[in-house]
Amino acid sequence: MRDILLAVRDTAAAKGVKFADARGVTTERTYISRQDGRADRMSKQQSQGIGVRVLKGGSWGFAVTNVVTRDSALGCLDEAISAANLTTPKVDVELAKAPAIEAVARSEYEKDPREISSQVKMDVLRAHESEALRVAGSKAANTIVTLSDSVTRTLVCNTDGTVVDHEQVRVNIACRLVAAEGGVRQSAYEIKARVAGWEAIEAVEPDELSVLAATKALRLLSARKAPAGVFPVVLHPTVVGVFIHEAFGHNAEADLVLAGESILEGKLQSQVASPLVNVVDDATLPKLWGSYDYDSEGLPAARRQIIKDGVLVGFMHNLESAGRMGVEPNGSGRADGYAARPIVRMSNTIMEAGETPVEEMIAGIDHGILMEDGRWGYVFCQKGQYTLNAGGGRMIRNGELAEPVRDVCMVGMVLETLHNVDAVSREFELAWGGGTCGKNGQGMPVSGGGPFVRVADMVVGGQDS
Amino acid sequence: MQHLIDIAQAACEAALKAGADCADVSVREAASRSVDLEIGEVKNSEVSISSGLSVRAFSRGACGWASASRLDLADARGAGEDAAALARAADPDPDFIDLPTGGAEAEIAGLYDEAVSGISLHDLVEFLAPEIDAIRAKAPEAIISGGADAGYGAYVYVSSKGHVVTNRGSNVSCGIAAAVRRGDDVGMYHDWEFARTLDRFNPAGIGDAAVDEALNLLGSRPGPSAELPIVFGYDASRGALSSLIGAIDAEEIQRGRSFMAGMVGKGVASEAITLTDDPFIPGGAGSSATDGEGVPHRKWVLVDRGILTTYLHDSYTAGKDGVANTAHSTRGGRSATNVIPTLGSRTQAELIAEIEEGIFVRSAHIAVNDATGDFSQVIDFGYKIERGELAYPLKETMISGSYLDLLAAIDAVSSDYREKPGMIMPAVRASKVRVIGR
Repeated sequence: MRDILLAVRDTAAAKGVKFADARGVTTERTYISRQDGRADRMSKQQSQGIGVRVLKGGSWGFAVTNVVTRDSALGCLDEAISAANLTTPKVDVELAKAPAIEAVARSEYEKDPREISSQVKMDVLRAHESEALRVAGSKAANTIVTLSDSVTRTLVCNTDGTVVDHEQVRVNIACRLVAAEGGVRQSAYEIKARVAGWEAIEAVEPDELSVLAATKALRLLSARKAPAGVFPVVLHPTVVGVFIHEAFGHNAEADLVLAGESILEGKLQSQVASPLVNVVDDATLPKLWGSYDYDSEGLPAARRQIIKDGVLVGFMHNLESAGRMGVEPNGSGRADGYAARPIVRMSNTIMEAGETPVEEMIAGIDHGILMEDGRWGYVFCQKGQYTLNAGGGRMIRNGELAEPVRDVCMVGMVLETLHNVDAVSREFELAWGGGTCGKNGQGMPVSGGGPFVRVADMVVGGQDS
Repeated sequence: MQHLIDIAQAACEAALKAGADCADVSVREAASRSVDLEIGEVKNSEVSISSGLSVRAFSRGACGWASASRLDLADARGAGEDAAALARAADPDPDFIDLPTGGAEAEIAGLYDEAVSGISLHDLVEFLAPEIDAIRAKAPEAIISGGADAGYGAYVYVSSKGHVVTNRGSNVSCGIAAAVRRGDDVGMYHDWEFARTLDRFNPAGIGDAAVDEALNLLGSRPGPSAELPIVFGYDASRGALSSLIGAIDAEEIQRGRSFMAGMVGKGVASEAITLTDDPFIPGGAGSSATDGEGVPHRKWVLVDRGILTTYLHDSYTAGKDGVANTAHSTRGGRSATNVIPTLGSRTQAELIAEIEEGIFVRSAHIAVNDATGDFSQVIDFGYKIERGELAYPLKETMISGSYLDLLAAIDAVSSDYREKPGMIMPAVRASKVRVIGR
């Protein structure tokens, strides 16, 4: 693979291409699941291919192949050059100047999951399932426990001299349990995901996964429907993690800013949030799901301060966006496999802890809601309207936690919500979560987390008036 | 095509030789070209070829899967052997009966066009250019994004029952979005065009549609909090009804995950709703002669004047329930094909005109909690209706409730509709829904 990619690079240079990179990606993935007491699905995937990018003027050409031969790869180069020649945009692009990097990196792990037998993996799932069923008892309508591991090796080289060979091992284990009683049905889901080897799976106790999922599902059976209206809310760290990723993080991806598709355009060094708010995106945090050593352009992972004391101080960048904005690149160019081109992506997006004890935060609310169990969200970056889903929560009455409520969505305008943050807790939680972020048809592993955050008011779309 | 059949059969035979009781294989070989816009100019152009195979092997009913991206005999045999090994390692499944056999397949026109393989990147740019100009003519300051793509491929399904299915497919699509910013106020919308063949592909007008609606959506304000009638417009009704289709997946029912359990033969919507799953529409987006296991499709009335008639089955779930296979397999899941609502007698405009105060949804999807059947949904693009007219665009406004209650409250389907290949999209009105605003 290395020789093929270097041949692509050298041929591109000889043809006078402004910039080209070639990425070879090889992935092995296994997935096993148990459902309702039996091994349900066992699968194994292998893929390998090459993607070649060429920059001419202001536009990119990209071509891919899964035939890993020199001829096929050089054919991709020709296709990419032809594609880049398609049009002549008004704006020429100068990529950020990054020093040529030669590196070989392997994510740290103790036990290669490929060497663990299916039987051992199934025994782990059986143990988790057994504990979930013990807790849920006759109320368990459906249980699924799953285990997934992957090893991905990416080799990227470019006409600036970078040659980076990096391998990542990822594992995750998840449990979904549907509980039912008296015509009421509720589900809960827990996942533990790490850039690590099998040892990370061995370290997960049922109490943290399947028992937790069962407990949550059972609690939701007796939870009331969430109220509908405008309320002060306290967001649990898992909800904050989803919020700061979905509602804010996408707006801070510099390619969207440059494309005119972000509400943060023109707002660098402006107050975009309460002074209590500090946000980072950090790809260097050991073993977190969104972490990596090198991005898909061969740049080292970095910690990126996005908001400091409520002021927007930076964006996430790839080589192009950094060049166009005249800043240092910060290793945020990621691609979902060889068949996708690198675009600006988040990694582990986190709101930093504050000072207020969470009890004090809750005590300050007469009638509101604690939203827990952040699940998903989405945003329309140009207009800044976001949607956030929480798997459950608790009512807050007279400054105390009250009855549990079911899953619900909330809506807000990103910058208004950030300005309405009036308390940030000193309690802090980094999510174990194995999230996948979708952008331009590409899925990317990410995670997040934060403190508890109180927002003065949000529109809550419950089913109970 | 023969080389794909040879690959598939090699994988199938390897699985059997490695101890599987039965096996099936799907193989695909595809190519595509695409262009993406940034601020109305071509930013990225891509050329892609892709291929892959996946093997399902069954041993005592247990299933093992293996896939590979390279189409050569060695990798195919390796995948077959891996799938068989995985199946043997899994627990037996007494509910598995057998892989299905085939049958007579319908001929469906308009699913593959050789001309699509000849569409160049330059052609894709030319599809978009007049639409970009149209947006700029009405709103020179608009931020324009979008893209176009063309793809084609060959697909083969082979099973150890001796079943071989081959087909070719093609598609051309483009989409464009316009965002107009006036200070902190932003109006944005999008439109799209899709076809399986070049002769049916006509993107003219999508630029105008996007920018017109973007301009209309300026000046949005929070909506009221009340129980109000709601009209899901042409672009919204499909999203509003699609959650019903997802909830009648037979596996979701059998596993106790879906709120639609026990509902076959019962009312799941008002009598205004009849939904027909028609896989034979020429050039339809979801059209095909067979399902993912090679079983010939048939047309189904899934909801007949509000009554649910069937769940969506594949060979496994049908065997488990002891019912006929409805041929909705996607080989690993189940799905409908082209779901067509029966039309009503009044136009969308008439349905709106009858409303004193209500909500019009231009575009949305209703995300329903599978387990509870409740929904809590933001109106992504919509308007307040006052005195029979669209009064102002909405922001930060939600709807919520029980999805079955919403479907039961549907009192009209429009006579007019928006059409794309395999999609008939009328407006749908419900007499009441909880609206939550500021």
